[in-house]
Amino acid sequence: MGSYGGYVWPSYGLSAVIMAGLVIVTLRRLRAREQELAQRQGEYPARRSDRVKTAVSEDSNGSGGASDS
Amino acid sequence: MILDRFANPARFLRLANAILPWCVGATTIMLAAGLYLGLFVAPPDYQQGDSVRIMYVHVPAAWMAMFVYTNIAIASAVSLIWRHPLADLAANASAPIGAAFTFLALVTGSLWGKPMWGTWWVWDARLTSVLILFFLYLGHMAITSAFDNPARGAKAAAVLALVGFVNVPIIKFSVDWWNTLHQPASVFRMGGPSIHPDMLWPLLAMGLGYTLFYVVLLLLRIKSELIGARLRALDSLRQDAA
Repeated sequence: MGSYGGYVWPSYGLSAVIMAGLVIVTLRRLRAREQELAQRQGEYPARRSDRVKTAVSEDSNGSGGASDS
Repeated sequence: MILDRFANPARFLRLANAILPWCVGATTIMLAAGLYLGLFVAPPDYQQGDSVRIMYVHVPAAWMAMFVYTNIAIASAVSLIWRHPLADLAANASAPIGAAFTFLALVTGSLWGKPMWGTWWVWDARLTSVLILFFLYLGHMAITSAFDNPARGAKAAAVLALVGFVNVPIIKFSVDWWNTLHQPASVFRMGGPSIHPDMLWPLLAMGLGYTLFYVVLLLLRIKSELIGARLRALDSLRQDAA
C-alpha cells in the first residue's frame, strides 16, 4: 500500500468491524427473542381459544382454571 | 398484487427462511471476490496510487446509504397508504443498517480525503448532504422508539422518512448542481461508466456484496421484529387475563 497504508487499512478494518458488529447485534437480538418466545409460549398458550381449552380442561379436572398469574 | 402475497407475516417467514441460506452464501462469495479483486488484482491509480483502494469500501457504502434510505421511504409510503403489516417492520429494520453504511461512507471518505485533498472534511454539497442523511437515519431510529405505542412511533418515523427523501436526489446530483470538491459520478452516469473495467468490476462485486449483505440483515431483522410483535401480543394477552 506504500505510504497510503495508514489510510487504506483503517478503511477496510473499520468497514469489517462495523459490518461484523451489525451481524452480531442482529443475531444476538434474534436469538434472545426466539428464546423468550419459546419460553413464554410454554407458559402462556398463544391463542385465546387455546387458553379457553386449557381452562376448560383444568376445570373438568377440578384444578380451578387456568393459571395466568 | 404481489405485494399482498408477501405482506402476510407467515408467508414472509417461510420465504425468508428458504432464501436466507442462499443469500448468506452469495454474500460471502461476492464480498470475498470483491475484496480479492480490489486489494490484489485492481491496479493502483496513476494519480492516487494505492489510496484508490479505499474506493472499494467507500463507494459501495455510499450507494447503500442512499439505497437503504430509498427502501425506507418506499416502505413508509406503503405503510401510510396501504397499512401493510410488514412495511413498518422493514423500515425499522433497515434504519440502523442504513445509518451504519452512511457512517462508513463518511469515515472512509474522510480517510481518503486526507491524503488526496489534504483535509479530513470540507463543507461541500456532497459531504454535507450525506451528513444530513446520517442525521435523518438517527432521527428515524429515535422517533421510532420515542412512543409508548409502537404504531404511533412507526407512523411518525414514516412521515420523517418521506419528508427526508428529498435529500436523496440532492446527494446524487449535488456534484452536478454545485461546484464541489467531491468528484462527479463515474459509474451511474449518462454515457456509461467512465472508470476502467479493471477497477469497475471489483467495485461492482463489492456493491453487489454489500447489497446482498443488506438483504441478509434485513431478513434477519424483520424476523426479529415479527417475534417482538408476537411477544407484545403475548404481553397484552397476559394483561387482558390479569
